[in-house]
Amino acid sequence: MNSSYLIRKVLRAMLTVLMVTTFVFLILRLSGDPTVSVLGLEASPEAVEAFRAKWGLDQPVRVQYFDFIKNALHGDLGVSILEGKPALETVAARLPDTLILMIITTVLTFVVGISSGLLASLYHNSNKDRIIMLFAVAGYSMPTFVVGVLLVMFFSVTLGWLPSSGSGTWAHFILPVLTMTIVEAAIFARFTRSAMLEVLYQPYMKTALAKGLSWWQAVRRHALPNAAIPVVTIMGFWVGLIIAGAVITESIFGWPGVGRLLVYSVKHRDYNVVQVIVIFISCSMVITNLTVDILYGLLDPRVSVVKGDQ
Amino acid sequence: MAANQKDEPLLEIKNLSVGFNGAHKGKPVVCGVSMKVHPGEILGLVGESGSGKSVTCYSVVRLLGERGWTEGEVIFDNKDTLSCLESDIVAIRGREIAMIFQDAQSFLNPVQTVGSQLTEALMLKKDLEKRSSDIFRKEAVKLLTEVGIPDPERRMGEYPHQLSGGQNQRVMIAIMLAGDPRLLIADEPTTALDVTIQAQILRLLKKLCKERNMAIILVTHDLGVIAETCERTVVMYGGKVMECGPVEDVLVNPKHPYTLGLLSSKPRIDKKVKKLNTIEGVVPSPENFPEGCPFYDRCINVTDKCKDISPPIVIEGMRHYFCFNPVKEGMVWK
Ligand SMILES: Nc1ncnc2c1ncn2[C@@H]1O[C@H](COP(=O)(O)OP(=O)(O)OP(=O)(O)O)[C@@H](O)[C@H]1O
Ligand SMILES: [Mg+2]
Repeated sequence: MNSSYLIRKVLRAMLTVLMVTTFVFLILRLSGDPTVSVLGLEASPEAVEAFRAKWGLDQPVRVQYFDFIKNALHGDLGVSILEGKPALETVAARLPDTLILMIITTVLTFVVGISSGLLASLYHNSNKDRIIMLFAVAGYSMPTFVVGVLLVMFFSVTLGWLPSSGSGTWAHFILPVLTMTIVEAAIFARFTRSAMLEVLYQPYMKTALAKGLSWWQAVRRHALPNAAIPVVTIMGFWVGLIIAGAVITESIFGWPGVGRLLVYSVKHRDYNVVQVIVIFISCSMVITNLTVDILYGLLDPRVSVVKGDQ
Repeated sequence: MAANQKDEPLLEIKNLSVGFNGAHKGKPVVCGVSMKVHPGEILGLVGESGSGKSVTCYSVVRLLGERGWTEGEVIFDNKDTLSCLESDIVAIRGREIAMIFQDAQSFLNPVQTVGSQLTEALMLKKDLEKRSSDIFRKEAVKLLTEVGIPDPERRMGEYPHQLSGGQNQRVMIAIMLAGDPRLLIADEPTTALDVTIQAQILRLLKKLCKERNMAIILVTHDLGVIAETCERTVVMYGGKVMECGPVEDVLVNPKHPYTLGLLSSKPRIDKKVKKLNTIEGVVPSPENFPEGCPFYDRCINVTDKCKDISPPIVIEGMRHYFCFNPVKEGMVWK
């Protein structure tokens, strides 16, 4: 892993963020503007014109775009049309709620998903394996919103134990976290299991046993480090997954986070807020992928050599 | 058999049968194999692909995998390795009986350095707490030197994909020597290598056998390798032993027609032959093994009984074979 390789990666990552932002910028403007949302259907033509002039919406898209880029490079990402505050502030205010949700979910997903995947692979073809995989396949094949709605029906409507929406107390966390964890842990469990099964039947596992390691030593010292490689590579995919999960889950449970803000802002064409959120999302995905690449190189010596030679 | 009676065999396989659950219609792939390995000898195990050589070797150290089952006994140190406790067989592996394989690179962990795979094996043998990692390192380097790896200090930090096939096999041998075993099972250790490297590895094995008084079971399908390397040989076919004895007897005066067939399908420098013979037909798959001799349908000496009745053992001095109608002096394969 040399520095020119890293620089190339970072440049490519920045290009990706730029492209995603541009794409969203154009799509938003081609699919309607916020005038109606803000002024209502009854607004007079003069008011509409004044509003459009104020926000620069009367300019050609090309001009709007270059203004946006210029301002963005100066750190100004515009003002929320709906709230009148800087868009960055609007998003930042919602960020902690979303991050808490994501962090709890992530920890649970990793712990539950990876360990049950490991367990299933080590007891391959036993009842333990079958039961874990039954749950995993069920969780995996249900869309997030179905899981969310089922949980609400059971725990909130039927049993009345947990609130179905809002935030504030620890009880509010349970259903959103469960919703996201069920789906994501299922994916991790399946993936970890297949990665392990692949590794457990590799010839070098025979060597590990032949040299006198016990089965558990062989698993710990030889199977786990090899199985970690594919599991790390799906971390990049997992960030996308957890963001998508958060958007849906926050919408279902009325969670006051960035996910719900995104849906709301798209609906009302609050351009700048959507753009800020998209930049956040693409940056976090790009950073994760960079991290995964570096980790991958550290875990698998075959990879870093190939890349170093490039 | 009579000859080596003076020393106790190091390993004795008695009437071993092996099969795999859910495969070959429940039929065993190895049926009633017996052989002895004496301390410090190189025993050649030869036969065509699919004759059950690898399976026999894996059963000795119980590495058949979860679907494999065994019958019979494998006696090592008055213990039956097939039925002893899991902890006993773990203690035997590496320290008493070690094993090397055909494609060394895929049998080495791709994400661990040569050095750490080697020191790991050393640490298993030695008392962990009493020794510093520095001592293990020194011993690892010593082993790499012993197996003929040039520049061992540097190689310690490299990964298997950075080494050649022959070097990987040497590393593999070093790893397996770490436990100072009394028996090394070498399953076609040179088949994947080119001829010069093959010769070097075989020479290395011979040297180690002598210097360490370590017995070796050398699996191969190359009679030339047997002739050059081994003292005794076991010829296997279709999951059974065909014949067994000192190399100079078995390869010069084969008793079993199968051995004769193998010999005449090998090009020879000392004898001009117009056409290289081949044994017609293929090795039957385990589900089609007959009750009697598995070679009956390809045999030039076949009799009425061969298919249905297992030929009894015929012992002649130090050798034995299983055949109703053995090869007569001067017979050729045609
Ligand atoms: N894990 C397994 N499951 C099912 N059948 C197996 C398994 N391993 C080996 N066999 C079968 O056992 C028979 C003997 O195989 P073995 O690998 O011992 O042959 P071999 O003499 O070593 O041949 P080769 O020269 O190709 O290595 C073959 O028919 C093979 O299909
Ligand atoms: Mg084999």
